[in-house]
Amino acid sequence: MKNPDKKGLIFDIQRQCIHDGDGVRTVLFMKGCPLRCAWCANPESQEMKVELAFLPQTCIGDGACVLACRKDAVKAPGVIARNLCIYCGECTKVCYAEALSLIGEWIDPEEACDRLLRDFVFFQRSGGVTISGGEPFFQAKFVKELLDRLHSKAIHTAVETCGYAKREDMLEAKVDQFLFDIKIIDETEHIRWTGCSNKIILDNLDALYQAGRRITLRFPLLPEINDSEENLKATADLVRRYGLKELHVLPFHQLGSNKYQMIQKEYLLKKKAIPTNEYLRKVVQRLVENGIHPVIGG
Amino acid sequence: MSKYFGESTLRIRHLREKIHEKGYAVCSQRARILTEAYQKYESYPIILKRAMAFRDILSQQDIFIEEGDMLAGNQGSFLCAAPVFPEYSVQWILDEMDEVDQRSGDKFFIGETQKEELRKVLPWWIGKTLQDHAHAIYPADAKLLYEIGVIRGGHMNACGDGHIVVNYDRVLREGLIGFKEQIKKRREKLNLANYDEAKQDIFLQAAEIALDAVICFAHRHAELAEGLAQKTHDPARRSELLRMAEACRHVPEYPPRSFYEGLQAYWFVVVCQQIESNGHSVSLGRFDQYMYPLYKKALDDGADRESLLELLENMWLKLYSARKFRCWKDARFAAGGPMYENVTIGGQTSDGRDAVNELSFAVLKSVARVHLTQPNLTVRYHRGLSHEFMSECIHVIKEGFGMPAFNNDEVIIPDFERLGITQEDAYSYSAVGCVEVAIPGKFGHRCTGAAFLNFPKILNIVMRGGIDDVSGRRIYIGKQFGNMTSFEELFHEWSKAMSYFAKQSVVIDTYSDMMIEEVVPEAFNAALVDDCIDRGKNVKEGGAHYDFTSGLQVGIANTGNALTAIKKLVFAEKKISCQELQTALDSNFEGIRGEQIRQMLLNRAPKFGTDNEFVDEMTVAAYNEYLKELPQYRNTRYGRGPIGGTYYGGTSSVAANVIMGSMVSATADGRKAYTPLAEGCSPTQGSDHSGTTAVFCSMSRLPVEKLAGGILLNQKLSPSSVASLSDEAKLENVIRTFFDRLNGFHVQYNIVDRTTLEEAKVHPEKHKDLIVRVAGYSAFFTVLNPQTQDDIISRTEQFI
Repeated sequence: MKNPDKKGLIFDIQRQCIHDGDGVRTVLFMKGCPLRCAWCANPESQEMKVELAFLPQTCIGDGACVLACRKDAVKAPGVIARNLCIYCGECTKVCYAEALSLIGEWIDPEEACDRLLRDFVFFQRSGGVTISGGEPFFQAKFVKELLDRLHSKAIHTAVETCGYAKREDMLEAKVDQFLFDIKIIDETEHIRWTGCSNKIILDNLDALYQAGRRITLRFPLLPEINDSEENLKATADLVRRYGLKELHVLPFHQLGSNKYQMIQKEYLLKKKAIPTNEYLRKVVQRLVENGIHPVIGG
Repeated sequence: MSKYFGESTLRIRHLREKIHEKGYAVCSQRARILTEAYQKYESYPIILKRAMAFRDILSQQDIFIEEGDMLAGNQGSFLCAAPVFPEYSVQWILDEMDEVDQRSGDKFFIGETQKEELRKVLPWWIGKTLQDHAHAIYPADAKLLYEIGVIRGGHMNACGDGHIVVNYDRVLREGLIGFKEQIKKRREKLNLANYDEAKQDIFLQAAEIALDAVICFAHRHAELAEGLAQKTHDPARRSELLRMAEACRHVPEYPPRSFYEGLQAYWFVVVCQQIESNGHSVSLGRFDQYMYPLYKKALDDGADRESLLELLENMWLKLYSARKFRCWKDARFAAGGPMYENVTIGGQTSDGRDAVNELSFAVLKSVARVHLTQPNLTVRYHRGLSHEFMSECIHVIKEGFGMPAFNNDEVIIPDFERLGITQEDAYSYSAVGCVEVAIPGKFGHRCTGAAFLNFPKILNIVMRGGIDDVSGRRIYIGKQFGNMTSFEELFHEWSKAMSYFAKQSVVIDTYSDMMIEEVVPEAFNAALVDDCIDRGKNVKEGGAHYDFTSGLQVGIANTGNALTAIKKLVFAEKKISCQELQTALDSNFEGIRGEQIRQMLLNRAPKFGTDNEFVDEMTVAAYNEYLKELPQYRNTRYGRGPIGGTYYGGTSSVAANVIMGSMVSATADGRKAYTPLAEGCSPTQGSDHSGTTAVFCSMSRLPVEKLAGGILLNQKLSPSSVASLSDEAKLENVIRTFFDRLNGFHVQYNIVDRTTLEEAKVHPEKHKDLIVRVAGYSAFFTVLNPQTQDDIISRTEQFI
């Protein structure tokens, strides 16, 4: 018997990622995140529960979902009373066009490990597994066990973390590379845009540094949110303080916008324009002036 | 202009523009001269008659030298004009002549005087062409399959054979004079009292005439260049023309003395093959190996690299200016009117060392600069290929015109050795056309590209108990899918069908080859293929050192996906009944239930190319039913001299997937009626949503050892995934893993462009393979809403 407690809730496994650590990566996306960043590109990752998504473009309107729903939550194709939905997935089973789908799958570490190693032959040249999310350490027990397994197979491991986690978990986990997000240095602004203080985050970063762990800092560049002169300077200071040369700059994008609609979540930055090349060049230049080496795109 | 490779010279840019502007035209002179020659030399044996006609064309057709062009020789009597080959087929020309400028693609312009001349000479050919001969003798069964679109084999009857790499290495080392001397010696030893030897003598006479004709063609250009040199007021151009004249007096008759003369010799031999016969895929072999001594000599003599690059670019423009006038039926198979003149670089020397040299780099650079559909550039990959060279290749890929393609030595060389090809020869292979491979100078025509077999159509016929639903014709009497009770029953029927159709495709090849041998034998290119002179035979008579045939199998992934969906959804899970599926297919998924079934077929069964063992193994099993039939068949040259004479599989289907798809009703993989099939061995459109690594893992399960005819794989690449140096290194690693560890045969990358993305906006379901990879972002593949699309488009353009 497998122990159900060992299971983790994931929402995607994506192969051939090239901007999430060294070499070619397979990325595991975990559900659950303590932060609520306004710009989040994976809104379906935030809640630590299975969710129901609806994609109107693919709906064929056959109404099979309405008949299948036992809670009367699917009123018509695409019209879902989410307060009634118990996420049983009955409607998705008959939605062959996959307009309705469940986001979130409980999986145990053995199976996760098998699925993450489909590209093993590519990792042997260069690459490995990256755990992303959500916040991986939100499901620390599962993630730690998974990382142990990967580590025992000599797979290079990375985590993409917001840094908001229990310090012991971060220090204990068998992680070869931390892709550590630094969003905003000013605490008040951080609370305003992510819903959380960054004190724990910065302390964790310090602890990882003291423990000699490999850290790559990543900076989601958000025009008019964290691109002020002070924040750029403070971020660059942080990079230099930890003896790092590089800062991965991840420019704001809108690739997640449709996912908000799919799970009927409000998206505050829906209308926000993506940065122009001209703008990116200027920011890069400012960071360089502050003595660091920015890398666009990670 | 390429940021990385720099810009071509003004001369090259002008010439390139001019070729673009001229577009596609038809020249009637060859047709007229050939007709007159056939009438004049009526009493001669066909091979001699054709050699004499070839001589008349090369000595009578108007020649010209385009302003600024440094290389002499053209296919037609004016720039970008395609010659006409009435000996292959004429009916379509007479029928289509007035509409070819109205075609939706592959448009040709024919001037009024040209039309008049064609109307005058073409009717003489009715009943005498290769196509007429072939159609007269095709057995009824095979003919039916040809007519309903299960087998496409008649294309070479209408449009010629091609697919050959002659012995350029020897042309450059010895000049045509070397071949002529060999012929002379052979003829002296022949006993004309012996039937076989008398026949050989006729071929050798023809070969001699053809070689002389090419030399004379070069001399005519020398005279023309001298005349133009006198007239020009530009001293620089004058010296260029004089250099050209000097070269044309010397090559290809004698071995070239300089890199420039080498190119001129090369080009004369290529263009004269294109004038002799109507085949495409006349390929250049290992260009960087044969030409290297001359290139190195030029550098040692102090030539400046830019001027050598300019010459190379001029050479590619000559290739690009060649045209092939195809009937509409065939033009649709070869979208964009390509000539598939393949240039192969890289690879290994016969002792396994890396063969890349400075010229290999120069070829990459020059091809990147001219940025054209010709030549078709292939890089032979092997484990020892340097990072430096791979990285340069990736830079060319980033230019976004689909080149170079990679072929893999690690798989192809052992494949060849298994076929009985010596190690040394196997190491010298080159690509022909696109992904196909051959031993330069030693292989017969069309080692691949014979009969095309339409797999998904066959599956549809099998499901209907032997009836083709599109034409309503019955092919055989079998069991209907609606009455089947197990998957094994269906697979058994498939297996029986494969045995039947495999045989019929060989029948078509046999009759086509028989007629090509009888009606349109070629002396010039035969003279340049090893063993033809020694045996006194042309290629189709068994003159080549090696001779293999591979048909092309189309729609492999559709077939595997369809069988998988049936096994899983109909027989294992019982979600759809046999009757229900049949009704849905017959009605092209009409109605709500039809659409539900289609969605089930699409989304509830795994697809080839996503690294799923179940469907991959099914695809291989279905394909193997065909491949296991091949060893029993022989081509028409078997036992007549060449090593080989056998068949193998191949999937270099070019654009055949589109046109063959237009003959197939709805299929059980959820594909709607008459839409395109999967290309080559690539996954079906939009189904490879798990990324290239998964596609590579699926491809690794194919029986590569039986597919020496080529395994075509096209992959899309978004510009942002090769934007930085580290991205390029990652791409290199992925390619190396595919080739070193996963039995990859070929891969070619197309950079996703704006048009594709715009198309994806309208049909997101067809573009699930547009891989969006952004740090920390989980791409929901169907999320291609307009806003996302615009975002991807703007990202894409950042990097183009």
